[in-house]
Amino acid sequence: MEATGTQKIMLLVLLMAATTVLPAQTPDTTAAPEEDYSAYDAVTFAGEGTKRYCGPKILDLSPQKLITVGYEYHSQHQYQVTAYDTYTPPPHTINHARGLRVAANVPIVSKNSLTIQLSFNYTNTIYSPSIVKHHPLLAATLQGLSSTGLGTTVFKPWDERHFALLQATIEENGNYMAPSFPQNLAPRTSAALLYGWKYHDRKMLALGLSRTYRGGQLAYVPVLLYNYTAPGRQWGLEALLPARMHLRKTFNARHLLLAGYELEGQTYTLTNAVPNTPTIALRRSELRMRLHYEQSLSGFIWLTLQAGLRYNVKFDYDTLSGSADFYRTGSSKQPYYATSRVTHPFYFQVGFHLVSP
Amino acid sequence: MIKLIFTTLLLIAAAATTLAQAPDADALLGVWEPSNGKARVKVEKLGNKYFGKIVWLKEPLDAATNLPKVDKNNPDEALRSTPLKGFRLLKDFEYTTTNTWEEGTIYDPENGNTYKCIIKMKDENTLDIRGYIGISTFGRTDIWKRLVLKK
Repeated sequence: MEATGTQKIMLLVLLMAATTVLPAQTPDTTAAPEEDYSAYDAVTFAGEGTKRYCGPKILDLSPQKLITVGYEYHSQHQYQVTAYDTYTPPPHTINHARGLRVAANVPIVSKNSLTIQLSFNYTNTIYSPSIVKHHPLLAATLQGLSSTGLGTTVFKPWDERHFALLQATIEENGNYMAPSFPQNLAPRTSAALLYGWKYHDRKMLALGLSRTYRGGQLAYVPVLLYNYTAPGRQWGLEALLPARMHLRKTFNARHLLLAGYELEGQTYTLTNAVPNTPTIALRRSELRMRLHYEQSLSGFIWLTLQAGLRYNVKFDYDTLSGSADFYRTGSSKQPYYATSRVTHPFYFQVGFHLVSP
Repeated sequence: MIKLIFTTLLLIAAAATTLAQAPDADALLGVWEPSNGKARVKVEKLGNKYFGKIVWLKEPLDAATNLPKVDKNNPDEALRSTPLKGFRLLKDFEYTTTNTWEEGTIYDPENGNTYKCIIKMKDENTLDIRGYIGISTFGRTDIWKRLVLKK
């Protein structure tokens, strides 16, 4: 059946309407056609101008990890309690140790003028062999050590140059293994407060004070944050002294290599360590000298590989009154309940991460 | 015939809706400055979508080469010689609800990453630009301000 004149006009109107309503075919949208960009040299704010703030990062800083799942392996090493109840047991060989590292950092506020993150972490160390019958202190330690923590990081810039940084963590450390959790909690709190200067996009410096367990026991130490990227953007330095320092080689925005050290440590509360004895706390601290490689696998999914020497700084025992810790000053004569000597194994670590924008 | 009239009415209604939305949707058009002041971005409309291209850079020359900056961090090697001036870093935004543009992406030339993005207009001269990964929680919000050209 042939269309009438009215129907033809209707069809024409429809076609015209369709060309108006339907989206145009998307052109190459990456590079826009050339235009005279000099027109944009002289501009002014239409309303109120913006207050500018410095950001928490510098160019090429190793990416912050939002979610981490990692695995760690330590090679064979020796462990000997050297002064324990007048009895020095023979050295114990740990064939290997392995561990899980899980962490999450969730931004709660993330804008120019304020960044607040909440964090969760869980790490453990599982020893093999883990059962030692003749030595209660060693047995309590080698049943495995875990650390579970909650924390927050607040970055508050005042303007384009000055900022404050607060980091606080509360952790439960002991000879337990997730998902079980100790009934009698003995939380340990760490914190750091720094005030800093961001000189430009490649350099920031901050000074402050921290309450830390990285040395194995409670300590109050001054801290220095220094992040720097050289002008050619091939090399950089990432340091939070005295806790860690790494030299960074940036191959490109998706591959980088770090070389340096990190001091790791905690006070672990040991349950069932020694019958009829007050709470036993293990003061563990180790210096990890390492190479650390980071690569983007796909977009924001990154792989990290780390290998190095785990140099044992402290592996000693204190008695505590209940769950409360104490601060041992440099001049303190308070003796340890037991000291021990641990040799220095090699270790490697592999991790998968979701990294921050 | 009834079907034809019905279809025509639907299309007219759709066109009318689009026209009614246009003034709000097009409020995004113009030149904007991110909070760091390092660039100026001109938002344009292509079809029904909004795109933003770099029209000015505080430091237009690459310190290493002394030549105009190019997109050297792009994960696609073929695009690493694309000049940054004129580069469309906001792509494919659609006006979805009041003062909100979604479904688009934002590109960061500093690291070559592309993020999902939501643009919210706080007032006629202020944008909240939130780039994120996967879900909006894992993101960061930047404030952009509208610029006008001096005559």
